[in-house]
Amino acid sequence: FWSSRCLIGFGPGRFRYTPPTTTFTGITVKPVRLVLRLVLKSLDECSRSAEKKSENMARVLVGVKRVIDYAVKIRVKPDRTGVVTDGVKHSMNPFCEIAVEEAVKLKEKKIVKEVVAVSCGPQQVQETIRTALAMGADRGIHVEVSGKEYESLGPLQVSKIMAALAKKEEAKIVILGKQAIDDDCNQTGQMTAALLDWPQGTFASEVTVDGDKLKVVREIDGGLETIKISLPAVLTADLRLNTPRYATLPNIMKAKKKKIANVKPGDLGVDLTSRVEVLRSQQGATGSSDAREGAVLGRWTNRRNGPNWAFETVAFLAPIPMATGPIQNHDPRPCCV
Amino acid sequence: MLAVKRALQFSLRISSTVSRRGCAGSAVPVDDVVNGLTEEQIQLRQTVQRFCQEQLAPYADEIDKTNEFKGMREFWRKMGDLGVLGITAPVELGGSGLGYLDHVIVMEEMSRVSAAVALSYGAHSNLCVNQLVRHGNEAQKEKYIPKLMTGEHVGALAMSEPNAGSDVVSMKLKARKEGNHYVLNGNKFWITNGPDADVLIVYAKTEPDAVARGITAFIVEKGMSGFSTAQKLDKLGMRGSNTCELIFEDCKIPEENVLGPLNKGVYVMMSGLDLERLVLAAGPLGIMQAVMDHAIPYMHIREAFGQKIGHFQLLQGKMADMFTRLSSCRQYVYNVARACDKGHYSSMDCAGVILYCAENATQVALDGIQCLGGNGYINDYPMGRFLRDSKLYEIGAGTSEVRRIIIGRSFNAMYK
Repeated sequence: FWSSRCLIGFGPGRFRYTPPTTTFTGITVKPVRLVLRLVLKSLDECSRSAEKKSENMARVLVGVKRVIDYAVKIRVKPDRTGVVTDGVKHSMNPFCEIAVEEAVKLKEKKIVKEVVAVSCGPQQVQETIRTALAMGADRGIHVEVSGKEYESLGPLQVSKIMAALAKKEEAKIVILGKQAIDDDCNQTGQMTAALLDWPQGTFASEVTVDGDKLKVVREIDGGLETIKISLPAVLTADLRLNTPRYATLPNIMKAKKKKIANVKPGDLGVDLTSRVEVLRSQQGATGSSDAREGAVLGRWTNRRNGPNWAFETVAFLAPIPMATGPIQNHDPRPCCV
Repeated sequence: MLAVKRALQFSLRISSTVSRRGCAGSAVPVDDVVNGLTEEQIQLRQTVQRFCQEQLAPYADEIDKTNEFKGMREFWRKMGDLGVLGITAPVELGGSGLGYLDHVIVMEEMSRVSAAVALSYGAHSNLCVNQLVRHGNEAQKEKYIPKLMTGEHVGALAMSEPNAGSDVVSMKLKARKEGNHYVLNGNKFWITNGPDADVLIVYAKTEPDAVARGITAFIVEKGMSGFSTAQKLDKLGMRGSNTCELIFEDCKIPEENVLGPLNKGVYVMMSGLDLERLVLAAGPLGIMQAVMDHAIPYMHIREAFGQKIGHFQLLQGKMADMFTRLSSCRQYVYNVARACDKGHYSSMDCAGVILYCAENATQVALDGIQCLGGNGYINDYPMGRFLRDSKLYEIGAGTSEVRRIIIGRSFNAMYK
């Protein structure tokens, strides 16, 4: 901004020159004071214009979810009310990592001014927010939900929270992962856009800014679809959008100083009652190569046993028979446990 | 047997292509609450674990087979970007300004994937960088540390000679003063990173008659006249962590490159050895964890006599032995590291830590091979590599015998 704004500050309208009272050395006090005054004025102009520019730059809200780590072998609870989560390794949903990376990239390109990471859940989700901060987010918001409400927390409730926060934080872009690897719902992004009445670019594999609009290349069943949506908008990240960066050691230390605000759903005016009741969770038929058999949990456990376990639903629905067959029975190599 | 082998090779190909996004081999979780780590340290472990899984794990077997790490320079750069090459170095010079426990965590996670590369990393970040940080003057630190931090330069440390291993103080490398230069003549042996290092810390005798009190530490740069490296050693384990002989033939070192006080090099060396033992003790921790990562899931997939072999009592016993060995070693290392971070350095504990961890790692690696049975004996599985790599830690950084002597003598000194 130095080059463009300050030169204008030095333009004819701003520059007042009075010939100096000359001495033998040719330099007097008066012009020095003049120069100082001009420098201060131009600095003022620069900072004011920089502020104006930043006011025009958007704020991005990124939703991150704490899920059971992809490498963990899932076990159903003996009382069949859900899966075992106590003492099990959790980490950030891989699609949420891609979302955070995209938000940080937008900030690095100076398209957005601030990246805010949001997560809903009990105290432990702060780890996930910290990971987002270590990747480059500026601050975090922890929406406190615990106990029974957390167990019944689903896309509808989360999208209501995200919509309320997007309005409160005056976010221009909301980026979410396309789906979570624990429930595979693929609904939160779409519902958030509907509640906000914003356009949505889901399954994004490429996002570019086009003036005051976003050009989004979406991965759909038939191939790639390119759409142009106006801001503000909701985006959901697909696998090939980017490769998330490592949280480097200096960034992990810097993230310690970044703030995480605590918010209650009630403060946002959100009602968390769920319209869905989980009756029973059970393991699907093991060793079955037919992906469609068994409950959602059964399908997922199945997926974990073969080497081709990518979190793409598309790849899963067409399993490679060889991979699940012989390797399961003969190859005890723990390549993907 | 042949069909199994073919299925294995096929799965190898699949798993290697899928592993790009992290087909995790990190099967057995590490309980960091029991380990007493802070939130940042837990995050550090996760980052390094992921980094190593994605950037190093696909090449670990090949590195061992070919005794060469082809992508070493690039990997060093990536580590530089991650910020792990100078964990104990000050922030102003590009380091992270953290403590020994953080260094131990990084070393452990890297060793979990490839013990050889972790050893090279330890030689660079602790043996070379840490000594520069602790004993270098401002000019030396500013000249050498920044490039060592970014990964552009690789560091090494040379004290052992062909005829001076445990008896390192009897080294024969002479340093003769000539004007404003020192001229070094002699050789060093068993030097990790020798073939690749750009910056080496070399101990030489400036006063050969004074035995221990005549040793001085020097900073040698690759390319200095008279300094060359000889053949890469063909080792049993730690293959890929290049080790070679260094040759000094009238090698001229400017006197600005003296590290620490003249003739006081033995103090530089001995205090450095304590911290070297502490950080390198994380190597066997990583190997033990890797053995468990491979053996425990295997025992829950392999079947014999109609059930998973992991359900048989004798193998449950093996699992328990491996687990308790690893856990107790880990608590010992972490606690000594924490004490060092507080400024409390105990030679006895630093020696004890690597003594205990190295011997346990060899035992655990042997158990690991046993758990996998015939599969543990073939090189398609990494169990053999773990055993060969773990044996080094009983020898390098002071043999187990020397470590025992240090502890014994410390007690003798208490009761003099």
